[in-house]
Amino acid sequence: MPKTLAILVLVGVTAIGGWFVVSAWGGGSVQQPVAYNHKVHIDAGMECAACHTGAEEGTHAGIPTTDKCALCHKVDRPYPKTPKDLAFYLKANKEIPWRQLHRTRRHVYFSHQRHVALAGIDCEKCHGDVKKKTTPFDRAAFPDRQAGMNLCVDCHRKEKVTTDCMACHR
Amino acid sequence: MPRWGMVIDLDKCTGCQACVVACAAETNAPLGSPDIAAMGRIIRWLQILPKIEGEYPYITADMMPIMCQQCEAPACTYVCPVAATYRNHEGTVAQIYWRCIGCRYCVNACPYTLKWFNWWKPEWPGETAQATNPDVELRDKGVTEKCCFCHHRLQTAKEKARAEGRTVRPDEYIPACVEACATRCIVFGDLDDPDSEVSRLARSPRAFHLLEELGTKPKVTYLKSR
Repeated sequence: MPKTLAILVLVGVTAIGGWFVVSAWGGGSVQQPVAYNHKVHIDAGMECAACHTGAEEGTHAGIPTTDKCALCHKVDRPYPKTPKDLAFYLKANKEIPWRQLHRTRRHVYFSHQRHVALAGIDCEKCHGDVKKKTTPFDRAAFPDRQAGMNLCVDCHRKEKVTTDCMACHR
Repeated sequence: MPRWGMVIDLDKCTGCQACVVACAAETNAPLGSPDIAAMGRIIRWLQILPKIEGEYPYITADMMPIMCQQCEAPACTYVCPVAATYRNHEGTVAQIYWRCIGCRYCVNACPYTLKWFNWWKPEWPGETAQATNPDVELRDKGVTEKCCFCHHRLQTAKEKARAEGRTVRPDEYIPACVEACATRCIVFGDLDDPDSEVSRLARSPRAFHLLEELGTKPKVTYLKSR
């Protein structure tokens, strides 16, 4: 009996430990409501900021609303092809409940405008292979699964821009 | 590189406290409670220090708005063990809340007692919690805070100026207290620009600094003719 208990405890500790490791690594899988394909849209000549409005003129880059999709995708037209999951939201005239994966921490002031429009940095610099991604994002699109201060400071030092704490921390 | 400074004309100040309210609203100052107030631990980065002379009814009252004096030689930065408070390249004394370990050395080192420690978890009751300024951090229990000359406004002004391919105009970056001052007794600007109003006023014969004998070299200058 004690042996069984010990095994159970060991299995429990391993499971909990494993969960913490996976969480810290950022490998948690998030299911998006629509199987969005970034690559298809980029190959079609679309700019990131066309859907992620605000990326060039604001602090936050927006998540597209259904009416953005509806500009091109029409349920009753064969081209461009409208996937079933998107058609459901278009027909119902409902917002797609995208799962937000990128959140700026509240003590950080990060302006997309400052980086995208003013510094002319390509989205891929921070968001990695986002333009080549054919499946929807199930994790934050950063090289190390999350954007830590090292990602920011490395680039700021390399580009010889300010590393004053107050420039990014509010 | 500008060196931001402030001049407060005490001859013009009526003590209306519009600056105090503007500062508290802009910087998400928690309301506090009567109990906290009784202990003298209400956090207000900008306060009015009343100086009353004479005996009633023959009294004169001076109302002195006081906030972080943005010293050129800030005692608080010398004692901070984790560089959570430091003087940046534009002369503004910064406070990085998430780096602060709450040792309170700086609170005790500041000769003006204008650094504030969060002894309790701050609360924004009711709808005030939905009305906080997103550009300013909500400081948590155990960290020190202070006036940073509304540095977030400078960030916004810099961003706008750069988008338009120019430098920041003097009227673009002004702290909330300056904006709210009804008598325009608070003037803000670049002290290194000899033509700026703040620089001209700082050279006035009426000018003085708080506790200037300590050698902290504050960038907040007061004007008084009496």
